[in-house]
Amino acid sequence: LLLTNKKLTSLYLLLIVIYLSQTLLAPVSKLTLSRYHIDSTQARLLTLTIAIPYIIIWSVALMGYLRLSTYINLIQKYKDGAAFRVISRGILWLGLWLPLSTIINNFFFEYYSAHHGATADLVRLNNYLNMIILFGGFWLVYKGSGQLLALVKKKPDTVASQILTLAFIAFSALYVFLTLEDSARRYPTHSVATATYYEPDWLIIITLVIPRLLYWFLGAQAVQNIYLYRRKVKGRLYKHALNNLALGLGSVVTTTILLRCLQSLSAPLERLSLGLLLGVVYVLLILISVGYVLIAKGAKKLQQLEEL
Amino acid sequence: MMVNELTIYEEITKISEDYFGPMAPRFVSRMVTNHLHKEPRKVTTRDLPELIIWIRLAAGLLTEETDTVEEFITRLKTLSRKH
Repeated sequence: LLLTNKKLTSLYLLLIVIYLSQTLLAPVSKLTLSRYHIDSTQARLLTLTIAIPYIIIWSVALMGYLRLSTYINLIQKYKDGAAFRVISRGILWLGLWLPLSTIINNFFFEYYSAHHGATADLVRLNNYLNMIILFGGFWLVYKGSGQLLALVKKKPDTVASQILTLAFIAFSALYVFLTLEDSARRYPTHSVATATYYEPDWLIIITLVIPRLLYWFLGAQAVQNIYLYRRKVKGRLYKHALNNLALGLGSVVTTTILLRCLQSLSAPLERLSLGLLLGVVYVLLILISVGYVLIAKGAKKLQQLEEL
Repeated sequence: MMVNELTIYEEITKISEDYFGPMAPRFVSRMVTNHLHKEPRKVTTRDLPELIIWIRLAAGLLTEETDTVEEFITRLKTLSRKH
C-alpha cells in the first residue's frame, strides 16, 4: 500500500525524521522543567511518549488516505468517484496538517527561543499557516460532500441544518468569549511565556477567529452532508460498506476541529494539570487515529465491492 | 428486439441499484463482461440464468445477509418471466 504513492510516503518519512530529530535534539525549556518539577531526561521521555503516538497516528493517517485513494482510483471516471476524489484531497490536507503544524511549531519555537525579537512575527506566521492549511482541507471536504449530496438529489436537511447553525452560533459565541478571556492573547503573562496571537483584539477576531469559525462550519456541514448522503443513497449492500467510511470521515473532520480549537485555547489549558493536559491530547489522538482506521476499513470494503 | 435487450439490461441495473447504489451499473457491467464475455447492453433473457448465478456468488461473498441476497435474486428471476 505504501508503494502506491511513493512521493507521498517519502514525504511522510521525511517529516517523521525531521520531527524525531527536533524532539530528540532540541534543548528542553527551563520553564517546562520548573512548571512540572521534572529534570531534562524526564522531560525528553515525556516528549517521546507524545512523539511516538504522534508518529503512529501520522502513519495511520497516511495508510487511511492511501487506502481511500486506491479505492477512488477504481471509480474515478464516475460521478461518485469524482466527489470522493475531492473529499480525499481534503482528507490528505487534514492528514498533512498534523505533521506540518507540529514541525513548523517546533521549528518556530526553537528559533524564537534563541532570537526573542522574532517571537511575535513567528507566532503570527504560525497562526496564519495553520489557518491556510486547514482552510484548504475543510473547503475540499465540504466541496466534495456537496457533490456527493447532489448525486442523491438531496439538499441539506432543513431541520438538521437549523440545529447545526444554532449549535454553531452558540459555540462561536463561547469560542469568541474564551479567545478574549485568554489573558496571554496579546502579550506574554507571568505564567505564559509566549503570547497566543501578538495582535490587537479586532485583528484577532477579523483575521483569525472569524476565518477559523467559517472553516469549522464548513467542516461541520461536510460531516452533515456525508451522513445525509449515506442515509439517502440507494443500495443496502453499498450503504453497509459505506458506514465505516462515513463514520471515519466524520470523525477525522470533527476531531480536527476539536484539536485546533483546543490548540488555539492552549494558554488557558496550560493552567490545567499535566495529567489532564496529556489526557486530552491522548483522547484526541486516539479519536483521530480511529477515524483514519475507519476510513481505511470502509475504503477496503468498498474496494472489494468494486473488484468483484 | 433491440428495445427488449436494452430494457432487460436497464432493468437488471435498476434492481441492482437497490442493493449496490451508485456502483450498480459498474457491478452489472463487470458481471456481464467478465463472466458472460459480452457487451453489457447485449445481454438477453437467455443470459439471465447464468448471470444470476454469478450475481448470487458475488453478492454472497460481500454480505452474510442471506435474506437480502435471496430477495435480490428472486427479483432478478422475475425478469425472465417478464421478458
